[in-house]
Amino acid sequence: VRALVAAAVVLASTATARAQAVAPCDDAALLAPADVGIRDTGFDAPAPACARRGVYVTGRGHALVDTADFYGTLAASSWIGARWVLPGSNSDHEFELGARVVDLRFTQTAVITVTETTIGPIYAGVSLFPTRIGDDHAYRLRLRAELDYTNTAYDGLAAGALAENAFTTRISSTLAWHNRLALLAFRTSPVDGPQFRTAAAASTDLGQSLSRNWSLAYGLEAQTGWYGYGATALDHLLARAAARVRLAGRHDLALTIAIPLAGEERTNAVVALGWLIER
Amino acid sequence: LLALSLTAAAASTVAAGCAHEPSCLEDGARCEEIDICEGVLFSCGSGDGAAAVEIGTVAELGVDLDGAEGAGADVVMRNALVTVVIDQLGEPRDLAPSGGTIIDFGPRGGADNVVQIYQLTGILPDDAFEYTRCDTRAAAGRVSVTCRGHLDDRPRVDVATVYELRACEPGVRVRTELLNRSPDAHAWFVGDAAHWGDRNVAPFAPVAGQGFDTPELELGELQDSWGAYPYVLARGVNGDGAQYGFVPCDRRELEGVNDTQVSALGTPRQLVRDGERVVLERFIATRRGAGLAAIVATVLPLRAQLHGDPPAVAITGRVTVGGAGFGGDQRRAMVVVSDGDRPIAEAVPGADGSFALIAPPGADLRYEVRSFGRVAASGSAGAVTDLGDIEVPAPGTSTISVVDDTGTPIYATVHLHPVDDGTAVGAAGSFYDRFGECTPWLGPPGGPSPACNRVLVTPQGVTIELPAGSYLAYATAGPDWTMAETEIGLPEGGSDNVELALARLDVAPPGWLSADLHVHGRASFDSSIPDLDRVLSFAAAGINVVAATDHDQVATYEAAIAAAMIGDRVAVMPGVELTPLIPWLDVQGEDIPRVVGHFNFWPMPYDASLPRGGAPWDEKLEPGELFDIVGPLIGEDGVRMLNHPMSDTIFGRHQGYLKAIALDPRAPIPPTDDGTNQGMLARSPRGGARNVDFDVVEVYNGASGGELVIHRLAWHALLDNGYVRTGASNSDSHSLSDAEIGMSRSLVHTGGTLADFDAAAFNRALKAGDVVAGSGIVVLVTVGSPVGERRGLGFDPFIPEPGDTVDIEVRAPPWIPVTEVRAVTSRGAVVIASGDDLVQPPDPYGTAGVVRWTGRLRVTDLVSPSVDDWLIIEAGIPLLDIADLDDDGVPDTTDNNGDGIIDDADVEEDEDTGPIAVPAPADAGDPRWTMSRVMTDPWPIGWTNPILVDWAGNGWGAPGVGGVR
Repeated sequence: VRALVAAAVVLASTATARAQAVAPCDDAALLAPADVGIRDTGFDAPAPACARRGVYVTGRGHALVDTADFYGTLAASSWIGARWVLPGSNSDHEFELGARVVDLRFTQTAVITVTETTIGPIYAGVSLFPTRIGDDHAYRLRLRAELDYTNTAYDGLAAGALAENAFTTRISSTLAWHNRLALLAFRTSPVDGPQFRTAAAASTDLGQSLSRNWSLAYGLEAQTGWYGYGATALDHLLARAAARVRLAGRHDLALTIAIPLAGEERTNAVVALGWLIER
Repeated sequence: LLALSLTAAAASTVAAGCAHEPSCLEDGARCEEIDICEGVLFSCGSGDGAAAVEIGTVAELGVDLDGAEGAGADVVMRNALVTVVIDQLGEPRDLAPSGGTIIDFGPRGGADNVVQIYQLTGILPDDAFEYTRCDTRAAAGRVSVTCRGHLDDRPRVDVATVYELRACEPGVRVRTELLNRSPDAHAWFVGDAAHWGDRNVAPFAPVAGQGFDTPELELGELQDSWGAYPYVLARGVNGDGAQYGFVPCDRRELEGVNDTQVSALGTPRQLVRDGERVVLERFIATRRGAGLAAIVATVLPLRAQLHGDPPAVAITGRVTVGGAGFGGDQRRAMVVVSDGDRPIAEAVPGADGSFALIAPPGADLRYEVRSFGRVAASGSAGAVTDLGDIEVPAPGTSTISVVDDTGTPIYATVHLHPVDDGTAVGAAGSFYDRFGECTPWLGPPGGPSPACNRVLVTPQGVTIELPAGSYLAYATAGPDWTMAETEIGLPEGGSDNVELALARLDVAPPGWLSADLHVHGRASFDSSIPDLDRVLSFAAAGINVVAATDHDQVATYEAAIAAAMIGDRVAVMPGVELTPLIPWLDVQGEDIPRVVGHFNFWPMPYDASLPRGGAPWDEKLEPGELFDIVGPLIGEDGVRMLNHPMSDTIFGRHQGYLKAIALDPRAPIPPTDDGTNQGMLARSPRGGARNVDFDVVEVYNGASGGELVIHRLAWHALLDNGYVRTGASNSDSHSLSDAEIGMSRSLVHTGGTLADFDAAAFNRALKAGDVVAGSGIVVLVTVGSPVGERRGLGFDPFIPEPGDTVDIEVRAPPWIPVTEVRAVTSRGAVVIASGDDLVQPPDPYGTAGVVRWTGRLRVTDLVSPSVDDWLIIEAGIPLLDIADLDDDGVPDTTDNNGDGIIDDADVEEDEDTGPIAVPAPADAGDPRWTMSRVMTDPWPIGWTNPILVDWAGNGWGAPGVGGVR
């Protein structure tokens, strides 16, 4: 963690001179935070305050090996989605529609193995109050919700939702700083009415372009509430990073990893490979 | 779209709140709305009380099942057909941490062959259901117990189980719910674990290639045994009357595993995610009868009601001998019917040989009749359901008595062995290939006499049926008697009278009581020998004193002793073998936690009104904690025994504490808990007793004779380190056939007789080390001046004077070989007599040659004067050759391929080391041959307990490992 923070500080402090005529959301896709979530359906993944557009396909691997409890899960999932933008007066409105296409999950305890394949959920997102503040800053409130009855992993109702305040600061032409405060909710209705789980997360990320076609992103996130608000208050402190390359025709390829470093979260790592076609 | 999704979410939330399903996870009327196993209907018969159903505590209603364990506040539900007992909360049992489980279940007035039926989601400690509240309910025509709680150590996973008994129904309707309120997804199945105990009950899976021949369960390979079953049946192996059937109600199949240890049956394995609920409904039926016919007749109509299975067909037939009906006992005939390779039903014919059962319709009906455990007839009937007469060979009949040298009938055991290859092949049998093969198979090995190939003989004599053939019959009454041999030749339908004569031998001297401090009976979950046969086996082996040490259950055998009228022959000290099952103890260098092994305690107060007869729960406790808990119960003179200290695992559980903590006998044991595995011995978990504060170490265990070498090694390591404990020899017998009573025993010097037996004095002498032990060989020792005062055994240090000697006398019945005598100290063993030094009896069946060797040696010749040491005298044959292939200080592998070299080629497939196996004597040229006629895996040995040699008289000091402090 220390090394990661140090690297971020160094990068920030050594950034080149202030951007010249660069809007906070230029190259938003390339300078976005490492957008991978820890939760199975990925609804907790962060986003910049800047609108993005295009279609994406993402494959994700998830590993949890808890030797002490004789428990392990390996999962492979894929997402497909689209974002489109309605221009606004001060900033753009982003809409998103996507689905986790398939989730293949292998779980093993000391004596039992289970392999399950599920489909869904479908989700939708929208940015509210997108605002450009001055020359360097952007803000938006983003909502994203999964649709009930679209996740075959559950017999009944199940949906995750995210409300996220995202701030993006353009530090330089090659560096964007993303901060966010997010509220997560998950609801099922197994019996006798709904059950809720909530959490609050705060994160900070840097997106740095290395060249016209290459960029890196790295960040830290802390979350509380998912595993309780008492003695187990820290869900996770995680580090995440992404490497992106812009291919011909505004095709972006991104390799992203998130690793919980502390807290109740037992996930060892999440790795995603995404392909974004920006329009 | 967002509006759409949010609207949909809101609407579904409202809908979910308004139209939620009934559940029993929370208290309230909604649970009572649930019609468990909806669609099941039984009609009531006529007669008084036919429609009665009642609920109450055991204290109020009692339990009318043979072998029941329910006590006090446990809850009884019963109707005219069945009785079921749910144990009270706060009384954990086996792997179930809370109570709220079925502990007794059977047809009214019949047998209870269930050890326990409890709910679980897996086999890890956290997978067990911990109920925190149980409510009873009585309504018109039905009663129920609803238990709610959570998974053990997972408070955010709610569970509930409803046991409902309705009038006129031959079983209980059971509904279990689980709700995962935790954030984690878990791999679980929700079901029942029916603990059968390995010797009591055989499950029957009606799927291809199984029937009774279900795959042996390996915990690490559970997946390989997993299957789906339309129903599962089970029955008492001994034909004593209780059958069981599990039928899924809310799904077509139950999934899980079946083994003679346990059946685990429930939902498919699945990921249970955050907020997911799992429900399982099933009907668990029980019927009376020797075979499975009655329970099949209950289960198949149930399936037809629930799942629309096609109507069952009636299958009839008759087993005959010489055209006359032959049956009435499963020894005589058992019939299993299959559809192709799928066994579908089983029956024990009635006394007239006829049987009638119903079975799922099949186009390729086949039958197989076993008589005395061997396949005596088989055939194919196609679609014909009347199998007609099925002829099987007639057995012979033998009336056996055993007399002493005055002609007086005595108690004894007679073992039969085939004489020729024809008999060896033709008489070999088993219970449907389970529980081991015997030649001849006279009955289930774990059951009443005759069992396997042996029969208890009382002074009244006994008559048995057995397959025609030629046998050698061997009679034994224990090591204090001769052995007798005679041949029995029986043609089909033939009969004879056999009398075998034994003579008493002067092996155990007066003043020494013959004791077995580790025995099991019907009260143990893994034993099904009737109490009467259990106590008769003591009398038949010359055992004077017994510690009744059933698993986690205090027992007394008092009623059986009285019924057999042998109170003048055997004294029983009620005790218990605490047998933890939950792995929890972290051991350095090991990934998987361990249980702490088994410990015996006696004398224990027996209280029938208390769960487990008063035995405490023993899970997740270190030995020192067990000693602290049990100490007040057994009193100051009570005994704490470390059982089979180095035994390996069974079913993933360590049996011996020293093996569990990976004791390295080459390394010193620290005097304090230094955080190492060895240091654990010095730990005092509650500030009271230390983990090493047991009084006795079981060095020879008759159930695992090959492990003598490693138990002995561990005992000597304790002595090296100054932990002076008595070394004992016991049978650990669970039946008539697994570890013969009397063949591994301890002689305790009380100076008295059984008539003046005083348990406290006996236990004091035992703990003081005034004990010799072994497998029938007795080593007597005195030390002191050759012309003056001498003393015997005991842990009071012996301070030698110059010229002092050790006088040794080795005794053994002529049928037990003794080829060498050894002196053993911390520095190793030295052979002090061998070959022609010893008397070799001229006739193993005679009376001459009991005293094999007497010798007088100077103490200084046996114990180095440079350091205090312990001295043990052993006699027998050379120890079994075992190598330490993994170099952990503990020998682990014998020459299992017989090539004369112990190497990796001897190791069992998929294992790193082992097994340790006693080679069976190949022929009469082996010195163990005669002994092996009446003892399984014999290894002749006898030893004294240590004499602590204190050279300077300044207090005995431990010599250190290998005599190096």
